[in-house]
Amino acid sequence: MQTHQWFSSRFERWLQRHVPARSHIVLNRKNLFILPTWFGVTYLVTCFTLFLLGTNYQNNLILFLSFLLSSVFVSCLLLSHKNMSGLALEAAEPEPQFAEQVMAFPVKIQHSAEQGQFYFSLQKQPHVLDPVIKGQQVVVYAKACHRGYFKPGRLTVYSLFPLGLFRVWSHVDLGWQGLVYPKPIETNLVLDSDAGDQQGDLGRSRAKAGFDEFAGLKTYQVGESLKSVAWKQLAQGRGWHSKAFEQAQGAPVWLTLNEQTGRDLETKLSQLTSQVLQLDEQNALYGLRLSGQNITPAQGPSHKLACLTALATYGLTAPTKAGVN
Amino acid sequence: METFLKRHHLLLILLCYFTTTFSLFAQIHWLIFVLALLCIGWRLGIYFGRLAAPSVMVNRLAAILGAALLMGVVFSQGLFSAMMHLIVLGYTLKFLELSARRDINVFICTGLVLVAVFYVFETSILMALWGMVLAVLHLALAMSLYSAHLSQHRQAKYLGRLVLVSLPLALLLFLLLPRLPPMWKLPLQNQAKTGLSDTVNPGDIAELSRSSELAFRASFAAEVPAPNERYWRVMTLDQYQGNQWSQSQSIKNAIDVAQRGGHFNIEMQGVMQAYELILEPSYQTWVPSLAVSQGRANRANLMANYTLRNEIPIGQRTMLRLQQFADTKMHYIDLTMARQNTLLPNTGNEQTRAWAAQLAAQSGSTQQKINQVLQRFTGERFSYTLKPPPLGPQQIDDFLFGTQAGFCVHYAGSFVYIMRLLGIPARMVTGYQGGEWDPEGGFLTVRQYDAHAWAEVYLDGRWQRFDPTAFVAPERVEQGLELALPNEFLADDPLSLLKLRSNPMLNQLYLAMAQFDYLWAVWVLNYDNQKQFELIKRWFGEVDFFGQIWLFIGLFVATIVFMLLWHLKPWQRVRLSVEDKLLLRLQKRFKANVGERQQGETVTDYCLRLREEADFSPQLAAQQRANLLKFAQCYNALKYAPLREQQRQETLDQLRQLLRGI
Repeated sequence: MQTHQWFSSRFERWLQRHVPARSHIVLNRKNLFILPTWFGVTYLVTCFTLFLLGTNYQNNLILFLSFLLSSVFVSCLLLSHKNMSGLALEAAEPEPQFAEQVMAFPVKIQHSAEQGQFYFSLQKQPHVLDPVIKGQQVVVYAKACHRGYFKPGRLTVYSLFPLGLFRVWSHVDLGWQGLVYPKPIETNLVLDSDAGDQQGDLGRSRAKAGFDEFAGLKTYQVGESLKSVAWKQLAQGRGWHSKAFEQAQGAPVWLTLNEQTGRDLETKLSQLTSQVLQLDEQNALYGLRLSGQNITPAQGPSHKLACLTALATYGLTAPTKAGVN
Repeated sequence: METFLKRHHLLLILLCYFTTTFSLFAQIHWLIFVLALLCIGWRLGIYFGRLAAPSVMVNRLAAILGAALLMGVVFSQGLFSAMMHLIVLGYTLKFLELSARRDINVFICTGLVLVAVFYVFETSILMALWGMVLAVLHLALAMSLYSAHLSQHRQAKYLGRLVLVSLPLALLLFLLLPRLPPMWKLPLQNQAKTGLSDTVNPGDIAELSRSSELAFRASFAAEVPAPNERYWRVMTLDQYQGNQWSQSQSIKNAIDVAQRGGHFNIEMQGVMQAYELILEPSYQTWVPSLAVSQGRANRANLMANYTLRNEIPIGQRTMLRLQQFADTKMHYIDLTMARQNTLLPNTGNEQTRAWAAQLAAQSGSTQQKINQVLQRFTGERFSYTLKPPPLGPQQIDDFLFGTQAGFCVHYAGSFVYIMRLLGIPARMVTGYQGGEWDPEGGFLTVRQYDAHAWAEVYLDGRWQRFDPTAFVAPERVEQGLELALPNEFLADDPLSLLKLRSNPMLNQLYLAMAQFDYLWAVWVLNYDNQKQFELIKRWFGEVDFFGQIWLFIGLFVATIVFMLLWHLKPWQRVRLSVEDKLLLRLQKRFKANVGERQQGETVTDYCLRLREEADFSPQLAAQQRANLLKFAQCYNALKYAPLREQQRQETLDQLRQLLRGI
């Protein structure tokens, strides 16, 4: 086991040197590996058996069959390599996802010859979903376990084309780095629109927090949440409108780390995440206060993303995307 | 679990299975086919969702039971048959466990081995091609499994190209890879023996004469023997038991010794004439030869009766190189032989005995007495026929004084009998006489109907040939059976191609086919190290051993290069223009310093970035920065501006200079 680890770490380092991380990689002789599969080995043993049979029975037809099958083996070696080399992989940024959810990593593949069938898997990740291959678009999936920056590791792309005698593969590092939000954990904490101690008793009116009052219809603008669309009016053929809400009390809700009941930091962050989602659902005005980082109260999708990103990266230094062009 | 197994996979598997097993139909016990139907039925049941896949236990049980049952049935047929049946059994039982790709892989490899087994039995051109079809079918199965995304039409096309491209290397290996001698002894296939057998009844050879099957072909280095000298000796029969001629124990012992490599040493005399035989499989060890011949660097060993025996049964079309020394006399006789060759049953055939006694009492030399016996066959009303009337228990009497109609064995047998009554050592020789010479093809074709029996008498210190048939029917010896017995020749086989040869066109066709078949046997089936050597000499002149090795390596490399070129097609690669090459050089120079040009970054942007980020030596920095900008301009001009040839050259030169100056 020890030696196995030693070898795999050595191999990892070797890979980093020879197949460095890139978001765009063209497979060629330098980053492709090729080895016979078990079928290839069995096939070769069969060829050798035929050679022995042919020699021992002094039967030239059997010998020729053995030679022909061996030549096919050599041809397959060349063809399977040719099939893979020239394959261009281009990674796209993965969409952020919550922890313990399946994250999608998209790749665009391009090939001049377009003959072989390619298989994709993430080398270091347990298998959660089969990769989806649709034309030039490939999506591989991995489960993100913790919040923060998630690197799924190297993508293994391989092919068994044409006869399954050889496996040609490459472990490419596409420099993927997905943002993982904390897993939302529901709390029964009553949300407070209290801005904090500084503001004293100005904003102690708990009951109103988070509740909006319908204010009227306004013209829908592209980009507004679909939840706010006035579907009834749309169905009546009166065009696109959105329902405008106004908070009864203009005071924003502040979400802080200290108010959370969770035992540790991660749980607290998870609870905050849940609250952010909840408040966004309610179209509430909310702000986030983490130690060293304040997000002023606002609302809307981009505000939600900013808050979630802050929660995801809290206490982490953003890794530099080394080597990624 | 079986998502990979599609309908066309299953169809292809069935196709592979049935073509392969039916090709071996004659060799396979019918139980296998019963088992196959059961397994396929089960598989189809699984496929249509009616039955569950058998468990591992059921599989193992089926394998063990099947093997036990088969071994019980076929073990008497010999080891080869047993092994073959085991392979076929595995091939059949695979139907029960096609649960993963691995199972189909095993199925494919087993199938390929069975194609080789098929070649053990069938070696004709058509069958050789058929075997190739079988092998390619198995590869097609692999293709359909691992290239499933291609349409079947494209799979077939791709596989065809794959095999065609692999052919040159296979041919090269076949032609030039030195053949190894057999490494160990493998069990031989158990087939019914054909051709001459070890014992001869009077009717046996007549039976053989009804068959137009090929016995062997011969080609001669120098001149072809005259028709009446084409006596192919196969074996001597020195024991008569009143109804049939057979080999005595001493000959059987000698055969045993010869088959184990023992060689009877004699001094050959006179001129050597080399000839080659292509023997059709007889599943026996005898080798026909002209008196007196010896094998040359092969496993045909000479025995004391001057016949040859091969060390292994002739199980496939085999070429043997022999040397004939026509002037060598067959002197050898020892006491046992002398006694054995004068031995007769004590009683019986009284009329013949009386006649022989009368002959013995006459004055005159032995030669005269022999002539008198032979003259009797010409003088009286003896007739030569393939369908002699049946003889009673007193065979010789019945023939000589009763029916007086017989085939060669009747005449040779009676003659030897009389000789022995006279006290002269005599034996029957069976073999083939004659053969059809094809002057164009340069080979002699001997068929089963050329089978013949004659006599050898020990006279004047050597064995001499006497053929009584030549006295009854001289045309048999001079021209062959067809002309000797035009009405009886192949009477059971009216549609035989041989009988249609009076039509000149059909005859031409027949001869062409025979020649092609002969070439196939000589240059493919029996292509060996010596033929290899001849071929190399013809193509490349005199080459010594090391030269041959170098030649092989050279041609091997050439073939691999050919395959590489064919597959990779480097000429189809995009050629870079000069300006692009220069740009690449620039990028390479600054790779470590600034990093590579990014995607979507124009050359101008890149050069601007270099200007900002790259470290230049302080004194040259200004100049270099200026050059960088010019470089981008020149590059863009070359790429996008409409330039005349002259301008283009100038700009290129400028670009080169600029690169040097950066």
